[in-house]
Amino acid sequence: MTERGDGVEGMPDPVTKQLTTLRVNGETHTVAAEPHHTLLEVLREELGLTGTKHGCELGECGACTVLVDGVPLLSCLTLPAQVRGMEVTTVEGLADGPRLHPLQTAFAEEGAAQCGYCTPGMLMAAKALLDANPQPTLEDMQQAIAGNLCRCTGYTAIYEAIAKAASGGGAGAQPLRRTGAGRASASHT
Amino acid sequence: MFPSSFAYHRPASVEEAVALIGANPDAKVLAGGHSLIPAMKLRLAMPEALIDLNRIDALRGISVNGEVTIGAMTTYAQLLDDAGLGGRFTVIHDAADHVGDVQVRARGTLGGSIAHADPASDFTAVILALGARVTAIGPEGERTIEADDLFVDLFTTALRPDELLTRITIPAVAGTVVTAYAKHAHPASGYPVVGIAAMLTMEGSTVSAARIAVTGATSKATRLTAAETALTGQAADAAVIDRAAAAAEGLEINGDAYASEEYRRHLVSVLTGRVIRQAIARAT
Amino acid sequence: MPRVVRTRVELEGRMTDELALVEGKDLPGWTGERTIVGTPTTRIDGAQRVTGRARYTQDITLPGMLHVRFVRSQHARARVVRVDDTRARELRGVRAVLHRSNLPKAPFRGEETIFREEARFVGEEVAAVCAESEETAAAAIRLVDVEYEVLPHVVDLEDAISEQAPRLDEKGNVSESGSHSRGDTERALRDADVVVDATYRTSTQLHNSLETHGAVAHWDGERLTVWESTQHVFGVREGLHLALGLPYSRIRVICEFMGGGFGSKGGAGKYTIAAALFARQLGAPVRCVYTREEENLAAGNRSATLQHIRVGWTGGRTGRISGLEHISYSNSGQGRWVADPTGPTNTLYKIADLSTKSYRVVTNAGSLSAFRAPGYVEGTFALESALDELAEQVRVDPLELRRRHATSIDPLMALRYTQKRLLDCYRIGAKEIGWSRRKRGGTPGSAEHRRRGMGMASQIWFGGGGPPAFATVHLNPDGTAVIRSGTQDIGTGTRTILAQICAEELGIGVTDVRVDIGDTDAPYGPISAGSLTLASVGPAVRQAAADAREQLLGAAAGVLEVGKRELRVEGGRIVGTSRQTTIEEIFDQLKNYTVIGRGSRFPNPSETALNTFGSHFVQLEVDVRTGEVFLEKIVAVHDIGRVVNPLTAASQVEGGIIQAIGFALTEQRVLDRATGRVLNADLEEYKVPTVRDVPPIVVRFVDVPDRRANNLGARGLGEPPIIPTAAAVANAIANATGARVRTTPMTPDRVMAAFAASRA
Repeated sequence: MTERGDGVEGMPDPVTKQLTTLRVNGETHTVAAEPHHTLLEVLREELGLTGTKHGCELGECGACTVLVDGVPLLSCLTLPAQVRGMEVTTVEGLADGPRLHPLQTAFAEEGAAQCGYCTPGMLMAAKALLDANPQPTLEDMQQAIAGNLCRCTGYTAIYEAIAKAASGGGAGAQPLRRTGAGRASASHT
Repeated sequence: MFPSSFAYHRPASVEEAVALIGANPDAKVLAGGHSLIPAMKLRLAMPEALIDLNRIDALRGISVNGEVTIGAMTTYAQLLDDAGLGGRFTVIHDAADHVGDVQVRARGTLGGSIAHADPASDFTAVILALGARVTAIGPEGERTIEADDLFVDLFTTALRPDELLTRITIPAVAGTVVTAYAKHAHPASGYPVVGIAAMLTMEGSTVSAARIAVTGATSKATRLTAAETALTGQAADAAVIDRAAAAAEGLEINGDAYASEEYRRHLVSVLTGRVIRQAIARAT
Repeated sequence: MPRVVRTRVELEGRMTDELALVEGKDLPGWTGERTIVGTPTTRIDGAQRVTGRARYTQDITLPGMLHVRFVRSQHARARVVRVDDTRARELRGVRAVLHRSNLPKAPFRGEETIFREEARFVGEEVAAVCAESEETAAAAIRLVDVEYEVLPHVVDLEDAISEQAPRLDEKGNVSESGSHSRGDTERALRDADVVVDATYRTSTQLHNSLETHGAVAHWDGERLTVWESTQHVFGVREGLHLALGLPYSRIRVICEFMGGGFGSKGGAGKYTIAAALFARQLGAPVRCVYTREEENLAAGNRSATLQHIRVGWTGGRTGRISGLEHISYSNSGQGRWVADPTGPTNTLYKIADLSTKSYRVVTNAGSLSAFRAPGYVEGTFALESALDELAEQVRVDPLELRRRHATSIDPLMALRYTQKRLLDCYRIGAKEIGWSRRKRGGTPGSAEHRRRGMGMASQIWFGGGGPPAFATVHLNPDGTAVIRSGTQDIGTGTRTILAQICAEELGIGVTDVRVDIGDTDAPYGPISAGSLTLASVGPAVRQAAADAREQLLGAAAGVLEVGKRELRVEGGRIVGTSRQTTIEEIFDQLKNYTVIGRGSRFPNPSETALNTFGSHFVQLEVDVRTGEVFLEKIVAVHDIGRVVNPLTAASQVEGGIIQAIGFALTEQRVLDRATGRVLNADLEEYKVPTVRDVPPIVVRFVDVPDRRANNLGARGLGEPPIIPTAAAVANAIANATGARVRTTPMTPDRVMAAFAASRA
């Protein structure tokens, strides 16, 4: 299907870019990319979709999570050729024009994005959850984002954001209070 | 971080895949890619070509018909979603639930994990406990290999380089059969530091047959024959279970930076006891 | 008129006397209820962070950008005899190679260049390759041939202390870095009824910010612009100024968004200098970003420590601590400083006879760098564990023991605290966790093989902030405002709290404030570290907003032809006369005009001590057969003065606790002593907590403005929540099982070993 260049071991081959057609966020793109680069690099470097992040590049941190046909996958371990003909969704494709996805609104409102670096991957994992299971339990939410590392928030706000988005985020929203007292804030004494 | 370049092949059928494997001796077969792609990025593997099995539908799927047949490219997520794998196959759900995270379960495959034979894979112990056999296809056609004969050493199976693992078959067993899987996971990688899978045949409160296997603690998934013997033909009371658990210790156990040999040995025993109790609890 | 004042400045407990520039007169503290400050406020940059629009250093792409990768030493200690870059330079796409023999002079952290003659840890930079793609650069570093003369090394803290260790420094591997003594500790310990004598160890923790260290440098022929993931844009500028010899005016450093730093991103790194050198040499933009492995080899860490504590008790159950000695050794690797684990011991309690000493130990391991409450996390683990061991021996409730030794005067400097409400923290925390249900010896757990226990620990930290910090507030003709300050938002919510402060003071809405920070073209802002951003920059922003408001009112008075004193700004309107006017309407009379308010941070009050306090309470279960620890609940209560934004403050506490859980239970760098290699420089083997490791966390604040601290009454919160958790966990394990784990992380095998020791 593709030809291997005549590079020396360990060196990049001079002629390696191949035309690949990808469906990303509802649009079809034909990009010239090295076939041995992963979907993560192609999204960021060829399509300029830098919302998807590099965290570890070895499939441990979840920062590069995207949806492929609705399923959360690690783009750092996925080859572009593997997703040909499939629909790739990145964080840039989450909003409907200027209208944020309910998860985005909830993440912003609950402070679920602290430094924000893990947020795109976290959002994609959460979207896959809610698409499959609109009324997730706490355990479901844990399962869904257990593969996404966050070094800032302590995860609690992320739960609350997912729960808020799941319940529609309106006045009827059931904020997740994991203890009687919950994630309460200031108490005046 | 980049792998070295490779040719990419995406066969549409098993036959095409076998032909490609035969024609590309330096190729690697790509299943879920969660072990292979990192190894390639780290230059621990530099295959000339990748043969991607992900579009061969014949390699996916689960059929339950007395015995259970699972296509090699069936993902952990598919195993978890399959309602037919209840009862004596509960161990499959137990183990699949323990594998990695959502992203890994969406992509990682049963066949990939078994063929890779990582000494810390969950499913190597599971298929040993279930007494499964695997089917491989090569230039000379199909053959089957018993799970007991499959794991040779670290990352080494009885599969030949030109063979492709196509399916895993779990034979039907008569009687009341219960299974369970218990695991102490590495806190970071999630791989089993010790994983124990058990399949017990019960006649009332007596264990008439036992298959128990360990992964993570040894260089390859291994049957805990001493524990099986201690249990077989016995009424499974606390003393018998404790004896079986103690018998599990007599193995060559590996230690590493996370868990010493001594601690792993201790865990093998504790988890063997727990997995037996858990399985027996499912009989009632 | 700006004027210079002499003042004492504190950063993470290190005090220096400095000159600070201030202007005008400091504002008095707010009185009465606030409507914006103190109200939970959604991050003003939240939308950018959730849409992928937030631009991090790693996302910067410039036309023609080149890429740098480092050749790193594979030896723990080796002299670099020769570097041959011939093969690398022949690779297509390689543009330049820099190493010791061709590098221009570039002074960096006390050395002449960024490449030392002797590489002193595995991962130390030896050469750098600049190429047209990252992939080419990565391939080319394998083609740089380095000849090493391998020298004897030592990487382990305790090995390095021993007499047999190779001497890495002329003065020896161990040097005293701090000491304090009051009373007669030896005599007090000799005369004590009970003495706990214990040794504690903490392991090296790696920051693992999700965004690795990195910089993009662009030289346009006149000016160097550097984008860097940093906690201190002005610090990076200073590093570049020193290394490249460029005047400050020709360097601009930008950090728009950054993916975590936790202390490790305090200034220019070798990657910054290398990117800038190549950019100047090649006339192209140059990017240098660490891989995860490089991050964990060369971007700093929290020192491993070895700590001995002897603490005495006299007088039975109504007695007191009589004598405390704390001696600490820290593995600073190749770092030039060391954090002090004895800080909390010196100040947390009223103890008359006390002696502490801390030592820095050099080894052939990666340098320490500040890591969220450096020293205090390690020291508090030892101190607060030892106090619980003592409480257990003398059968005094651990919380009561701490209450009995409370002090409102800093025992080190003999100065009264501006405000200390640690006793309130104890009271609130004890109620939330249900401390009265705690039983000596623990209680049965949820399964036969589990035991349940409760533990607590206290914390002290700094976080008072201080000068210098400056801001301007630009009031636009449409009634919106822009804050400009060279501080940065490292994820804590700086933009949002500054907008709240500005909106509150100026009388406009939070959403009408834009915050332009992370740029050295703005007024000077300090490092975002030491929990000082809010307490340093916030008061300056308030000053600037007040200045802008006064100018606006002056203009309004002129336009409306009324006395300025009659007017005030409320909800974006000028009120006070019968004629209510919008800000916009005032400016309509003045054309397209912008009011610029200026603000500076005034010194802290002299002759007081300025600290933050808190306590954490932990409930957990222990599997007594496997040694696994299961956290059930954590309660955190902090006294940080006024809470500006309860939403971001709660996030800070939760995040600090999660890092503390990692420190307590799972995180440790593993070094191979024979080779000096890091065996877990990745996230596959190095465990950063996931959502599965997080118990329910209850966050409470005392939330009483500290009127003596600064014009906001607020202190910092970055560090406090990581400090007391590990000791509280250890104390809860001991309560549950009777076994004392004296080493972090408290992994299952260490817990098992503690069971064995407690039975022996």
